[in-house]
Amino acid sequence: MKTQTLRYSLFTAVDLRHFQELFALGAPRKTNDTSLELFTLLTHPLVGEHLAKEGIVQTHELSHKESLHLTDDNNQNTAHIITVKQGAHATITYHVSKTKEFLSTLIYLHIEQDANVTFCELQELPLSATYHAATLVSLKENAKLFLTEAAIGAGNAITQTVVNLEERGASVHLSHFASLKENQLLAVDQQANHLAPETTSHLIEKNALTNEATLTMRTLIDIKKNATNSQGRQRADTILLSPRAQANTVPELEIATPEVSCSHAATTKRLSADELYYLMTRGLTKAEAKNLLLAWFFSASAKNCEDEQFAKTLHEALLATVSQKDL
Amino acid sequence: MTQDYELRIASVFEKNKEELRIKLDGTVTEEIVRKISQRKNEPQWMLDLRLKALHIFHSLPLPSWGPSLANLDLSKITYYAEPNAENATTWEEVPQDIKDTFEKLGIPESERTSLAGVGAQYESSTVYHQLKKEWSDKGIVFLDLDEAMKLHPEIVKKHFMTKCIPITDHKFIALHAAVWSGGTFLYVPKGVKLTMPVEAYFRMNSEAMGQFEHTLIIAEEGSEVAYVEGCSSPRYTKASLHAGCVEIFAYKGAKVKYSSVENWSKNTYNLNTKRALIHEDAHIEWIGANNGSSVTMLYPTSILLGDRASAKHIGIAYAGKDQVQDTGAKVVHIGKHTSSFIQTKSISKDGGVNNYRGVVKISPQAAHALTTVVCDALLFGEESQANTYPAINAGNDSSECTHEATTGRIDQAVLFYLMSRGLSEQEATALVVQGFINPVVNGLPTEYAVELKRLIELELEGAVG
Repeated sequence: MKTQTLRYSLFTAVDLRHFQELFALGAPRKTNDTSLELFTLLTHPLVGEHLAKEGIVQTHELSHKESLHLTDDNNQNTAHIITVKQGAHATITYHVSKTKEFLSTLIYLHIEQDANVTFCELQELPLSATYHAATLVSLKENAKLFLTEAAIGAGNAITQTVVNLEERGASVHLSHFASLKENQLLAVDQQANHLAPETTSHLIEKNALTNEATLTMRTLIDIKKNATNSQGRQRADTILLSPRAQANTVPELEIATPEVSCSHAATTKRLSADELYYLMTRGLTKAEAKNLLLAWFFSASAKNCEDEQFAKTLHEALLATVSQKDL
Repeated sequence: MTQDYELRIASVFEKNKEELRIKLDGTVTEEIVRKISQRKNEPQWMLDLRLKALHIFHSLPLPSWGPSLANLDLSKITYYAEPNAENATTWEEVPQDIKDTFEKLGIPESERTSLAGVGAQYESSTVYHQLKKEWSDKGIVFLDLDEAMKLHPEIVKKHFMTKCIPITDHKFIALHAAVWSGGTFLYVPKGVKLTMPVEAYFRMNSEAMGQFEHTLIIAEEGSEVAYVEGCSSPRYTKASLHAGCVEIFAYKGAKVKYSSVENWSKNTYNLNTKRALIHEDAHIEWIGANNGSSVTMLYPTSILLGDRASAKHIGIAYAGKDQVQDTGAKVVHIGKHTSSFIQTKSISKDGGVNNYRGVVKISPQAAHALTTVVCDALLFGEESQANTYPAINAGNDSSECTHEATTGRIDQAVLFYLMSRGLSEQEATALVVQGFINPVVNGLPTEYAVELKRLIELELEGAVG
């Protein structure tokens, strides 16, 4: 594994050229709206905002069977440019937990042909923090990504994940979990762009909200004209644990070819009264019954996380935020 | 029977010679607005409302979302065209060519056999309006809106573009308020159940015509009414504009069923606004089919104000070559124990674009609200598109929201099964499509149901192979 750390300053035209040279991602080509070339990447408002701030850039190259563990220890805005080489099997974890005020992070994940990547991210910043994050992924031929994101902390957070399935056979399983309390605000924007034939995207969102927390979640599966025989599946489930919690869900589909199979489903409700009643007749208190149902609700969080310890931490953190107590 | 419908479908796009008393076109100005009001001998409050709306229209931008309106030149639209005909109460009084048009569309025939009343609008004016005596004896009022403003001024003033659709809503509703003409007023008194539907048919004949009819339906406490609307226009090369407005008030315990088949010709911009205010224990059912127009932007809206109010939205949209159907539904839950159900079906062929755009908002006080949204899309042809943009805004924890959508082509296994039973690919495809659109077709009156089925069959001819 190769890792390199560099400092970057204000985003200017000079810096942009410098940036391109540094990471050898090539000069900006004539881009269309689906390209994840650097030019597009830098013109995204969130990324532009990120780069306008003082921060550091780390590049990582993973080959064969390697693991990478990222944290926000340096307490600075950070961009991670990660390349997973052809045929590699990589496990990546990212734990964001320390910053107290404002943090902006950017992950650019470039997955080469036939590579298989498991990426788990846990964001549990204190409620005093504001968090802006962008994850941008490009997948080449037959590359596979299992991406798990869990958002727990930060009083005010905006996260964006864009996955480009650029070549034939690429697939992504993107799972996003949010567990929010008090008056947290979280805006999530997820997008799977199918740019090549026989590509697959499975997007799953599981959210639990208590107190006066507010979640806005937009997910988009975009299947372009040449992405024939592709498959897109989207499922969003939200549990509201308090009368004042709010969830806004916008699951979008854009389909430009008939040779696809695409679906989405979304539910927003509270915990099932029947299930709670059943568990309570078996001797559990109301809070214990609720916590058991929540544990089951979030059980999929560990499914695609190869690092067992990290998966356990992630699952426990999700439950701790919304855990119920008997009065 | 089938031949009748073939004739009706064929006649939809035929045009008559233009015979008008007055035509106001070009850029919409205060002068045009004052002239329309003057022609109708309107009260001052209506003129004031029109002028205020015109000012709002000029100050609002075009929508920044949805399909492109670049080819719609608002300076080349006819804002008012008065046909050389009076508002008649018998078909004999209607000028022959206009009468022939409506005969071919099957309106008088339906009136005789299955309707309680009919309104027929041609260009900007109503040419025929009649409600059968048995229903008018029960206190039901079915008039064209101009006449209703004279005969029932207080009811019209109370409901016209006030609480339901204000003139500030968006650019095209402001334009509508400034230049509206014709339309329908339907008033059903407390406890009266209108068991036969009434129908209004809106016909544009001239090139580059703008039609801005206003429909006002008031269902008083405990009443029931079913209303059917049909729309069509002949084919021209210049863009036409339809910016109608439908306002429905369903008071306590009332039941309203509103059905429409909009089959404007493919040079029409159909930018229509429909909304209902639903009070305690009242119910609205919207059944809508959109298979014409170059661009449609239409999102019938239900505001569930009272406790236990409910809404059902069923819609189908067909988009062929060069067509964009941007349709959907909006429901706002305000009362407790309110419920809504939205089901839409779309078919895209030969590069047609279907967008489902919808919003369900459950406000914090709407405890125990229930909503279900289901959108299904079928695609034919390489260039066709189906996009889904639903937004579900859940504002309390006692409500339940579910949403489902599917997009794809016809299941090949189903086609194979049907073909193995002796059907050709064309027949098998037609059968699957008929099943796909059945929930919408079943809710329409028979003549519209048969016509819609046939129209979609015709549009899909050649979809296979």
